[in-house]
Amino acid sequence: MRQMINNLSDDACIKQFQNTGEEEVFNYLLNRHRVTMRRIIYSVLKGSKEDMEDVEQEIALALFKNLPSFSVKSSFTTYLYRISRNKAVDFLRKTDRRRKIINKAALLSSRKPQELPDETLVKKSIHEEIKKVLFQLPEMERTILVLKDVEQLSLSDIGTILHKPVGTVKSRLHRARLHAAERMKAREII
Amino acid sequence: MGKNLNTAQSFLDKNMDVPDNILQSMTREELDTYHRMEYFRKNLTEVLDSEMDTAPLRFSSNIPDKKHTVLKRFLVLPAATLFSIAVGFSLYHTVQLQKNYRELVREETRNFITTLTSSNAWWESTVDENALSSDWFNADPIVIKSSF
Repeated sequence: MRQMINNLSDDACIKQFQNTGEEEVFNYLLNRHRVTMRRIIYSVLKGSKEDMEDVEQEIALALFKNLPSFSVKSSFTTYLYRISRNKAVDFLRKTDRRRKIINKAALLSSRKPQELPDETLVKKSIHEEIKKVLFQLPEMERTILVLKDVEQLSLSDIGTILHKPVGTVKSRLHRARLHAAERMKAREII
Repeated sequence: MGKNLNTAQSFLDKNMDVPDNILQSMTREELDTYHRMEYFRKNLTEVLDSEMDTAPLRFSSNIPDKKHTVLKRFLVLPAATLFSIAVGFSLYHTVQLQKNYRELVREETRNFITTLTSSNAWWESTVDENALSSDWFNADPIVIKSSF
């Protein structure tokens, strides 16, 4: 079964799921795109791993309900990324993020730092700084940066995912990169 | 933002390297900004992936099977219907009782007011008849005597 699904395209998987309702096909399809999905959720939720799982389940549920009526004429990945972003944004609005972040920061500051080899430590510290820069940006700019610079989607696909015209996406992307560069300068990263 | 930075970003948008002639025409400040952008862009994937959970996603729809459907049809639904009827009847009964009680109170009030307005027995019975016929009402007029 697994071997058979591996050779199927997204559209073929969707058709098979629409015909049979097999959960294995659904899970395979979902897992094929889970990395991108997780990157989007992570950037929107500002790195809260404990909330990621909840959002993932919400996305899976929404997809499971809507996939039987999904038209294969539209792009599945664009559709999935749009659901991912929307669900993560909804979750962010619902939960009191500020309180959680403050608690998390207090917990981290009270922790004793682990001893790591120098190289790993430097890399980790650069990662931490870049994460801080990313999370300081507005949600829309974070998502656009991830979709463009990490997932390398086209501006028109990003526009479809975010319900924005291409021109708006382009100007927001340029602004996001500039904001990131300004914050990196302020934090003296390079 | 300078024109050169805009042009450089357009190349980045197309996932292309920025040509040397554009980089050479940038000012020092523009070049620094561009390097920061590039650094951020190149490290972003690594940063995100270092935080990612690689475990596969498992989703179970928990669709009820046939057994559950039969149970639902023959046990849960009739029970829910009976419960709704019982609650509805008790609510109706309560409303009716309240309505009757209100009617009773209204009737009693009406009777009481009729008693008040149609007869003077209520105040007569409260006054002592001896008091009405006593000499107290037939007292001599008061005479004021002046010493002047």
